[in-house]
Amino acid sequence: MISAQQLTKHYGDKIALDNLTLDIAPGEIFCLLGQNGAGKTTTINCFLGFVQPSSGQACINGLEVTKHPIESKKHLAYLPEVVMLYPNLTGFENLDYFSRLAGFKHEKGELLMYLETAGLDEKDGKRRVSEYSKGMRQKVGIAIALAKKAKALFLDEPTSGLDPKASNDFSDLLLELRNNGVAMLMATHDIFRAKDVATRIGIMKDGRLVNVLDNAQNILHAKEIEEIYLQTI
Amino acid sequence: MIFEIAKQEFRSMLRERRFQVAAILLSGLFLLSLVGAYDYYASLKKQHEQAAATARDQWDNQKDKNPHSAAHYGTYVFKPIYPLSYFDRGVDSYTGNTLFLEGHRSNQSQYRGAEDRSSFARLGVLTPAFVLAVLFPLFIIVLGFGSVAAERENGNLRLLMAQGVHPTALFGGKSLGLWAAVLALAAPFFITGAGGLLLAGAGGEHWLRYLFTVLLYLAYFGCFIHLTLLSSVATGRQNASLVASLGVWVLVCLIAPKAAVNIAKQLHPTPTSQDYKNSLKEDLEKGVDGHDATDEYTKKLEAETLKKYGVDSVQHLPFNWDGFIMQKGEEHETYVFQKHKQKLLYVYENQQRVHRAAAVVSPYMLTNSLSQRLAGTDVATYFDFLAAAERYRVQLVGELNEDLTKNFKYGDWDGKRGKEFFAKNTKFEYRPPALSSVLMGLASSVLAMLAWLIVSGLAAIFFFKINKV
Repeated sequence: MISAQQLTKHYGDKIALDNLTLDIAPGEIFCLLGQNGAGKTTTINCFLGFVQPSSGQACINGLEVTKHPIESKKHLAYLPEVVMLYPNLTGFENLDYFSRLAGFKHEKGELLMYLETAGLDEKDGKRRVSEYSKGMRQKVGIAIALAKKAKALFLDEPTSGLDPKASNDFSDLLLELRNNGVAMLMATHDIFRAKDVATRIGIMKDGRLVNVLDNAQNILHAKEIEEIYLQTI
Repeated sequence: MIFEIAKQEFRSMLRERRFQVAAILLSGLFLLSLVGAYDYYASLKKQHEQAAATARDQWDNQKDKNPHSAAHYGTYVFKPIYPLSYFDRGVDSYTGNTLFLEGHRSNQSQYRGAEDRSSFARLGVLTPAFVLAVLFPLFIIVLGFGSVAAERENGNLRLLMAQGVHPTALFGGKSLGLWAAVLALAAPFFITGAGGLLLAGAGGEHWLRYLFTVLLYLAYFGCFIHLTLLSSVATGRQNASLVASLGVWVLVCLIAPKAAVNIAKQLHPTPTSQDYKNSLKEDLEKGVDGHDATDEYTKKLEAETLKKYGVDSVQHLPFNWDGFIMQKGEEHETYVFQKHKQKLLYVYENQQRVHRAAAVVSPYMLTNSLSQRLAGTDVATYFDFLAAAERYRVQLVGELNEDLTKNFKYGDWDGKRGKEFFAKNTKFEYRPPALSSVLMGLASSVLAMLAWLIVSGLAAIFFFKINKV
């Protein structure tokens, strides 16, 4: 579903992404760990078409992103680290707007259901986003991703700023999506969260994917991952 | 998708304090300008009509006098005040609308003629045209400078593009959204503006002129919508975008017009009032002076005329020598004035040409000149009026001198004409250039305006396409 072949990105002399080859099947969650600047966000940017790779290719559902910039986005959803939204609109209106941009015209009930699933009740949904906390905005972002019913989901440090309860709910949501056959690529610093949800954990350093841990049976321990991580970087 | 974006932009803007404050401020200024300008127009028009009637009445009912004395007595003519002149006062404030006509001299040089023409380009008072051409773009900038830049800064743009929005659709939606906000404000402006026209009792042609004026300003707003979006997407940061778009505004609305005037004056310097008068005086002395019998040219003409008619003194001529020599003097004076005015006019026309060419760099200058032209308050219309007034002056003075020549005895300076004669003198009637002829002369400026609209739009689309999120 999500696949990269020898994906490379240079910025002048600096190499941001070095020969990344990766395949994420439906129902898989691949977590990317790594320090800031290790290439996690660059990887996601290549899949979103926001960065033109210097060589190699990124594909979503078999569509090469650079050749099908609009078409490939029909199959993916994206949840950034900070979801700002439009402060003058309500959470509900934001969700409706972003869904319409993706070509969906959901019924009101359906939209409310997505908000509910993301953890926002109707009352909050009808307040303006300018009154929201970061966590609430993040939930609208999740609802936007859900409403797109995408087969590939890209998450860039999605749980930063969420309280432990919200973060935990979010993990449950990801597991549910995993069971529904969504392929996910998540960049994160949160080793515990990664351990909970990931089927595989990749550790990046200087643009290279240097270590991939299998966690399909959820056998890894957080302490173990942390040690490997610290040794790797 | 375009309409979804446009709807969201507009809805979001309406809820913003920035829009509300700017809209209220601008509406207040516009209403103020409209009321002020209409009031000025109405009182000026009334004054003019009264003064024109009085002037003619004074001419008709002047004391019985010799026809040539009547030529000295003189009369006033007035440039008609167009209904649309309340909307755009143009150069009227600097040129005035009144001209004094008399024998022996063509008075246009007494008016602004040879003086500083840069005054034409001054910002002027608060007229509806000023609010629309100078202040309205600021409103567009305030609404639009963050359009893309803010979304890029806060990361919304990434979310937006990840939803599969096409860059061209984003441009289309953003500009339509801005258009909606612009029209929400401009439509009431144009409707109340039409109210002034209704009050002025304007006829069909003036409504057509107003329609073109409205379209012109809409195209102008379109240019600023494109330029603002261009600056927002190209800089990618709100503060840079604000500085860039305000910079464009300063260049287009303030610096370009001033620079164009200065360049025009550099290339085609206007003679000083002093030089103009001196060279005029020099040439006037090189010909017949109807009032100076000792003048060498007068003596020469006298000798020739006596020879032609085979008589030995002017008393024996079959016509009144005084009237004849007055008209000959008048013809010489007219010739000299025409020659010098032509020279001056030529300088002005060259300056205008430079100005028109320079206007291509600024949609403001294009709009300004087109708007004045449509309102009949531009320099060209003023010159047209001056030319008509001069033709009338020559005709009127000719009529008076002809009467003196044919119907009065030589030396009969006591012979008088009264009301029945003066009332029959030709009346001044000025028909300003018709809309059809005006429109033909506007083609190149209109094309330049459309080019601005299209090129700025294409440039914006180009930057939307290469935009990094």
